[in-house]
Amino acid sequence: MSETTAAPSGDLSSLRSLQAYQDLRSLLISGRFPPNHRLTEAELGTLLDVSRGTVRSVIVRLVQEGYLTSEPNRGVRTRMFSIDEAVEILEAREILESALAGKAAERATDEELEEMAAICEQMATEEYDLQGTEYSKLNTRFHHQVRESARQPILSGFVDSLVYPLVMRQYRDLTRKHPRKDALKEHMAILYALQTRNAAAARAAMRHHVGSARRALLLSADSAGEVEESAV
Amino acid sequence: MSETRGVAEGDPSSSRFNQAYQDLRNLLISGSFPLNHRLTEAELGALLEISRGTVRPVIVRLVQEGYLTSEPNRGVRTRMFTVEEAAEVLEAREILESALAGKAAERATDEELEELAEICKRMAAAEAERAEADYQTLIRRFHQRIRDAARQPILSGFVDSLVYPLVMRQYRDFANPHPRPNSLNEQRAILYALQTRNASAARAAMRHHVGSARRALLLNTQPRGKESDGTEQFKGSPMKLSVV
Repeated sequence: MSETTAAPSGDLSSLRSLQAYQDLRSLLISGRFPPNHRLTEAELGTLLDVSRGTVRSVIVRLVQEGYLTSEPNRGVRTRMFSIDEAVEILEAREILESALAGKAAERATDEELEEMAAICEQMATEEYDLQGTEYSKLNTRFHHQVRESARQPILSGFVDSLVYPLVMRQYRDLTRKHPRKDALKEHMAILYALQTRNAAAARAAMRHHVGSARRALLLSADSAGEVEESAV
Repeated sequence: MSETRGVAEGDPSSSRFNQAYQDLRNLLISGSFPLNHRLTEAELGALLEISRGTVRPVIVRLVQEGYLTSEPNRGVRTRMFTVEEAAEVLEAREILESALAGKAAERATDEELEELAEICKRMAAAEAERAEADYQTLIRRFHQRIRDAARQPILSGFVDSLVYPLVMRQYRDFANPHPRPNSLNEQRAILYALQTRNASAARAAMRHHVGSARRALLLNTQPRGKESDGTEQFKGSPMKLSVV
């Protein structure tokens, strides 16, 4: 190998390795494994249908990105977040997404705004099925489009690095009220703030929207705490 | 990952690796190499007095962290930021430090605020004595303590990851003119916003202070005009702000 490539990540240029990485990451986000669950190279090799060598490089990458942990004597495990860690991650997300919405208000092109409006329209038609995968995909696309429009790839990259989907998956019962009927209105608030090029309003609207998950988690954590205390 | 592997010299957990990593990072931040300069494993091994086996993971880590780039046929090179890239890094820093100042206003303990006030006092003394190096050190400590007081290690970690020291090194004549007569007052504005527990004032004061570097950069490098072809660092004629 020339001096220009580094051994640990050299495998990842191969398509099979990339596919395995994406497959495992999707599995982790979808909650296929419980939190703090030990994974062996052998089982992953079988599951992903790749060699142990490929499994190893996929694991290295996912550990680096925070989707897995790897410790001596504990092996490779799925993540498990304490409530405090979860709140911290969701708070970081709130701050970053809010700032990005503000920049998007300044920098989004008219085409990008139209795209976001179209996504909102589609979400309105899916409103009857707020827990559905279609709605979820649209939600993801909306947020992704806002981030793109901000033209701040550094901060967008930080949001992506937050592994908040893992947090949301672990705490999904606590972070979501069923149904979240305000979610659509919250997206509309963000959209109109963007359309009127109002950075401060976009920041506030995004902060409110993204913050709902964190607030729900804190409320649940508080009430769980109270219950424990009175049970003693 | 094998769970039973022993610690080799090139293992990121070895102290030889850590020392070499710190040494090379410091060299990069201090501007010891030209911009976009190709580095070979051999020369780095000689410079840092380590084997090729240790050089390689050090390079990998510094590439991951953004201190170096590594591309096929171009090899490993030091960073060179276009004005747009530099502005982006400084903007990210502005946003993060501003948010952290807001959190610090809510979460700093009285002891932490006292320490910040103390640092400010010493900053004023250093400035009066024209002790520039001390002044800069105190500013860094001031900002670090504010980040700590915010109790948001994730966002603090992002600030640390920003390689803005490389940007400031490359653009030091444009982004950081000396002296900055209002610098001390800007720090005080942040301090009083924190002391009055005013989160939005703290955010605004920090944004203004940290943003001055980015504003100076954009002002002095004239980003409007013909498109950069990526090899030039500046468009138009850059002005150097002279020291008064």
